[in-house]
Amino acid sequence: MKKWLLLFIFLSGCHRKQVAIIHNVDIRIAFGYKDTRPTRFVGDRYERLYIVQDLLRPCLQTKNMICGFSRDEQDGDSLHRIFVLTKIESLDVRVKITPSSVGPDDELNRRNPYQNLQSLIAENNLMTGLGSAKAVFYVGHSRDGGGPDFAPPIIAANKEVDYRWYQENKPGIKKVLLAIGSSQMKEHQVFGMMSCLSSKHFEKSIKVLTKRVSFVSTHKLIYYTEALNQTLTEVSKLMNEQLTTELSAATSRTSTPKTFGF
Amino acid sequence: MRFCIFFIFIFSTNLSWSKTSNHSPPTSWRLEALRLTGESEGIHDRAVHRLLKIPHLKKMLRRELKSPRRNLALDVISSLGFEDFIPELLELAKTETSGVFYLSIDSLLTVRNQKMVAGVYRERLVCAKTCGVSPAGEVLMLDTLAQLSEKVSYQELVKIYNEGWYEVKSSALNYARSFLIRGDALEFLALVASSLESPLIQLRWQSVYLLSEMPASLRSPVLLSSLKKCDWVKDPRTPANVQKICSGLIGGSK
Repeated sequence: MKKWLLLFIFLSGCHRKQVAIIHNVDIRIAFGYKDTRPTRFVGDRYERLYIVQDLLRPCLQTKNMICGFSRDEQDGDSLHRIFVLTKIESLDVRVKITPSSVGPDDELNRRNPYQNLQSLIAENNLMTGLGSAKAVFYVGHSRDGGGPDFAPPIIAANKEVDYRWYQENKPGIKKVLLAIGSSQMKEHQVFGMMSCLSSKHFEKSIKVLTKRVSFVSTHKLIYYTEALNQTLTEVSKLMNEQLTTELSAATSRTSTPKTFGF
Repeated sequence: MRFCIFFIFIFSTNLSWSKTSNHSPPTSWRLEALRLTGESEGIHDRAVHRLLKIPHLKKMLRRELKSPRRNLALDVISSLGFEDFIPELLELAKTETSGVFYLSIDSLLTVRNQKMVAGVYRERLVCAKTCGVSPAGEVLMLDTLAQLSEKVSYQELVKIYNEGWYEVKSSALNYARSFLIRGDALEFLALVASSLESPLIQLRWQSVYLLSEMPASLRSPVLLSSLKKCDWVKDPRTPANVQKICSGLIGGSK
């Protein structure tokens, strides 16, 4: 009797373990070093936290996708949210969001050895993202075409940001072009630069290099709150698109679609 | 001003920059308020001059603080240095999550009022969880207390650290650092030791750097024993610099 029961279970397929399929969406938000010369105030940590608070809030009355994320237990900069597509498929949206500064005071940051590492972490978030992520956003200063910039700025003799140096050397955009140019990615990618006059400063060089990247930029001197809200809008839009695509693909693979979790 | 008024939140999307560049005669306080940020010093100064001439300005600003235009009102209060608004801003900050009221308060700090403000900040930080203080508010208040060299007790700092988000923990370490690098508040070293064993990698990195700034004589055996447990430096996510510093600290203790 027991043998017959086991044979029945085997033939009915009930023994098969359901395999979970997780589709990943990698989104990067790298804040640049937001100094406010001539004052000493540096604001990117607070701006980043504004977005993190939004991502981590519960999804109660929100109309967009910016809610319901949880933080990685080991990585304070990584947040994620899982959307259930079907019984066996889900979409894992991961947002890695990094600040550039270690404190709110530019003078003190320059004397803090950890500042160099924090700048490197933020820069890596952006550059490695350009090589692999679905979407990458920079929220920071344009440095008059020399950005993106993740470190305390180079200062001229008059104690102001040395824009001439940034114009001549263009350290940030050179690294960006190198990262995009050397990327092995074949998929479409979104790259947003939420910084002043980013269209004027960066659009041409990126569009000449590749058609694979959709460049999001601005023609104006963007106020930082506009940059934050625009970033959230873009992330929400992207998540919506990705979710619709994945859900459609998943439901076509299975006959029993399940309502996804938002 | 300690904090820059540039960091005033203007959420209203219809306030475009093209309006701020309009140099026509003012029709309202709002037009002048928009000229306080992102404009040249001359335009800023003229806006301040015109705002000061508006009758009953303070009464109107008090009303606006409870309206959707509160951010512009805060901008005016900061720019004009209206210190007498501090009690009201402290009250409003209780229920606001972005931290914008704390930034305005910080811009109004003087020798006269900083003790009072620091006292309120300390109270709110200690009861942050139960008092509904947002993480942004916590980080801002901790940063301000560090800048003012206003000391909280070790127990208070540990409570803030233990109950706070990652960002608050990081800010608490920054706070501890601001005293420790001066050789002050050595009791905070225990918090650094605890952070060296945090599951969050960034807190461990931050602690290793902090420890490297301390004079060798202050690196207690307890601290170094925490460091010796740092097998995590082999984690591929850990930057080479952290590995190097960690090895140096362990090597230096032998």
